Amino acid sequence: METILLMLHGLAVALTPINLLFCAIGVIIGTTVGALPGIGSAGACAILLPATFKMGPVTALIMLAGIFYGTQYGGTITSVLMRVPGESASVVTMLDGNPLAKQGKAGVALGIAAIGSFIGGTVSVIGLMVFGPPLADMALMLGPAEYFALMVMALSLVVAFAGESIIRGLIAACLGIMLAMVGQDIMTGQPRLTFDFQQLLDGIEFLPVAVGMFGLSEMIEYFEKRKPLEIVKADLGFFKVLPSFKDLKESFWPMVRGTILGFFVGIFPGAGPTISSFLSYGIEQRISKHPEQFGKGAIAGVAGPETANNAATGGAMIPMLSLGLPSSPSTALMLAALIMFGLKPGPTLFSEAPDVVWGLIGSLYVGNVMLVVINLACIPLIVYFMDKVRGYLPIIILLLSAFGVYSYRSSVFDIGIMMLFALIGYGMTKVAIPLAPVILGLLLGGPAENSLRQALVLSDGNPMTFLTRPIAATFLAMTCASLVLPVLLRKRKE
Amino acid sequence: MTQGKDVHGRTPQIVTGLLIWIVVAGLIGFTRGLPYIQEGAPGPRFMPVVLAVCLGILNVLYFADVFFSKRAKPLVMPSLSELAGPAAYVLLGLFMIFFWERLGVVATVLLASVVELKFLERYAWGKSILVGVLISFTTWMIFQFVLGVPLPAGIFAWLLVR
Repeated sequence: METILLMLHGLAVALTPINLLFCAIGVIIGTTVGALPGIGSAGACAILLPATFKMGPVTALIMLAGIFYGTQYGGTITSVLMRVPGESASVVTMLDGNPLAKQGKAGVALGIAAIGSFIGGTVSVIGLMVFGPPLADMALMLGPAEYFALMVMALSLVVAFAGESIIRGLIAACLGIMLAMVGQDIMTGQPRLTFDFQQLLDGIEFLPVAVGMFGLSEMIEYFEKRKPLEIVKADLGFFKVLPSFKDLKESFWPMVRGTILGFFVGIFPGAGPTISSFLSYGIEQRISKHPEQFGKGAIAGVAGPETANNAATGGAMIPMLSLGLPSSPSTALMLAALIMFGLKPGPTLFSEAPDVVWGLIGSLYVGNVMLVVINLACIPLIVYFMDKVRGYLPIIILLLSAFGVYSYRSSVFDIGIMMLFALIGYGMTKVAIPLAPVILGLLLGGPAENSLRQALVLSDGNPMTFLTRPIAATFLAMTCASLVLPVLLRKRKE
Repeated sequence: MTQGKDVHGRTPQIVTGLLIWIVVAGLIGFTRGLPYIQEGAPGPRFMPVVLAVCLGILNVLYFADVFFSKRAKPLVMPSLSELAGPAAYVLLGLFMIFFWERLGVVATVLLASVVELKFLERYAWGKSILVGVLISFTTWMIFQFVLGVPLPAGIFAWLLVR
């Protein structure tokens, strides 16, 4: 009952005109930016995060959530019409969405994707309401040793899902943690790895690193490849994107399965929308009566993955809001927004800032409705805009990134940091070292070090404390399993 | 434009590994003056050393993976001509950093936009200048007035600041 009352309060917060307006702006911007090839969800959130500084935390988070949802769907548009996934979660949508577009069914593919996104997103928010608060209550019982083990587990899961090589993922995570160590020591206040730069005393800011690595590095890569993008010409009027009853019937069960799968996969750090969409596609293909149609324009190949990737966004909010653990670069950015607004992410957030948490949850419902309405109505407009703005994209991204990073604390030094990490991100991509663990390492490095040192102080320097406390030991065992199991499975396969 | 070539040699990975060794050495070397243990508790040097050890071990495994793994795929590295575009884009960013406070935001953005549109995107001079002017003043208006971010006016201070 209390949850329902809080939810109603959250909806009331989300439905205030100003929040409604910024939610709509977030969805539109997110969809548009997500539709621009080369900028993923994390890049879009990173570039647009500074635009929320002047708002209150509730409005800012509502807008960011709108951007987050919008980019998920925006990526679908490029996947279907250009065969260029706007982001990794839309890769599988491309496999059947683009053939459907070439068969003259682009509208149906986009319409099914919008409806699937709406269903997956909305149901996953119910899951968030059900599982979020109890998890936060449980997390309040965790001590520093358990928290440290939990963060290590989160990082290991991100590493396990981040790429083909666990070693490379772990190196990336270590680099992220190293960045978190720059600045004044949390306990003693002594400067560490600052190289006498005054600007580094407060540490390396999250925003320039995230914008550089996820926004600008992709633009640098764009200049390397530079191939013209072809948009499939399609009739995308409002009625053309409304699927027929037959399409809806074919999509019903893939959407149900996608919702359940996406939500539970989304809860795990690192798994998120991309893994859930791939899993959903695999399942749909395996259980289909016509698996040969997959890759040639199967509607289930669009409905399942699209539903799953949006359901995963709701699932991903659970560890973020309840435990203060980001499960993907995009949720890391939302977490960074909470910190920037002076809020302390974690289990106490539900009790200390109910307006923010429940306003955000309420806005997810509203955002999902807006997403489906705006997208069904505005697809032709978005495609037109995409076509016109493509040539100006690199300079717009560079400027938005520079302005955004500068506006955080009026520092040109931060723009320099952003450019440096754009280059590092580009270089890391070239040598196949994943970027996501760096960002999560940077965000979790500080709290993890703090918890580690607190745990060691409390145990008189005895490292066995992590193994003698059952919850911490369980988390560490899961960490080992997440790193060792994929290797063993691969060996067995070979 | 030439195609990126597969580097079947291991030069990029070896360079990466060497860079990681430098990071490991830096973590140990640059925290030398800090205490490892302070008042019986882990000091500020504790975590960097732990991390350096972890990175060192991982780097050994990385080299092992590079040299002995059968699964290792060749990396696709860009050719020098393919790097011209990325290098120009990065230089443009550095140009903006250098002139941001010296010339002011409007002038810097105007110059950067015109250069990018004319030389990287190959638009005509007229279009590049027109779009450049539009972008520079629009961004100024949005960030300075709508979002309230104090931006350096630089050489246009006489026009933009009252």
